Amino acid sequence: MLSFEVRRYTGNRWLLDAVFDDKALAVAEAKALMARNRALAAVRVMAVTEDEDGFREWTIYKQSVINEDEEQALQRVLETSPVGAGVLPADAPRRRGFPGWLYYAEMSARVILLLSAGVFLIALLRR
Amino acid sequence: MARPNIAPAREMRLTMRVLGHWREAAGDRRYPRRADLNPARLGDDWQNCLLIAIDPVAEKSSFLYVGQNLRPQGVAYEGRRLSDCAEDTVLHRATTYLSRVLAKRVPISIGGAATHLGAPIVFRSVLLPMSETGDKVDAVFGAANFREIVLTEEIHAAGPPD
Repeated sequence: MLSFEVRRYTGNRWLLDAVFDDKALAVAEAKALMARNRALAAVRVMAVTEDEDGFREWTIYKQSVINEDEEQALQRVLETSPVGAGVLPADAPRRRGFPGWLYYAEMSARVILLLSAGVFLIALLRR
Repeated sequence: MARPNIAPAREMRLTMRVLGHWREAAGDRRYPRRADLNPARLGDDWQNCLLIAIDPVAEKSSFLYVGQNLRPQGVAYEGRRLSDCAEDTVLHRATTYLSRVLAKRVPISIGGAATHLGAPIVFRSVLLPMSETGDKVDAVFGAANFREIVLTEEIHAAGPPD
């Protein structure tokens, strides 16, 4: 059985919004959702089918004002980073307006600490 | 830059208009309440609508409202259980996937071919979850329309054309 699921991107995740058995209606509803709700960042329509091997789904329509993959990656980094909230590792996706000075200050402190530890170790070994 | 809120042109399809009304009634909430429905705003579409009260025992779920255009042979179904609905009707066909709506907790629309009082039809329906508490689905609002399929027969002469 083939169905078409309209999903909206809210709170950094995709949520099921409605289900149709007609592709054109699903796409029309997805477009109407975006037009009606200015706060909505993205919407997509997934074709979903079930067979003996399980469920399969694929995107047949998508409309977005953000790159939700980057948004989700950023959210994961912020949640799992051992450094703490608000500070990003060097390879994390950046967002415009993020306080970069905090990041560079933290990196500088790490470098100074490492250098100091290195000098201390060298002094110890020379004794 | 914020996107403008664009009011869509009037939707030509009944089920999509009703879905739009349901979304409007819900506002920022996940589900609208029964009191949020506005028959006046729905206009003529109200006669193609239905409202079901969901009972914890599925077999006891009953119709709260059935629009005139969905009443089989004009029979009023208000207060009657879904199981009392005759199977060969668009009303029955439009409610057969109620359990899917309750399981998924989102609007579902289906259509296709069926029969209504013995006549072949094509129909389109939508069922929309409602909640008085904002979480538990305790009613389902719906709409359906249909049209008869006219079957034509062609009888050809037994022999080849001249």
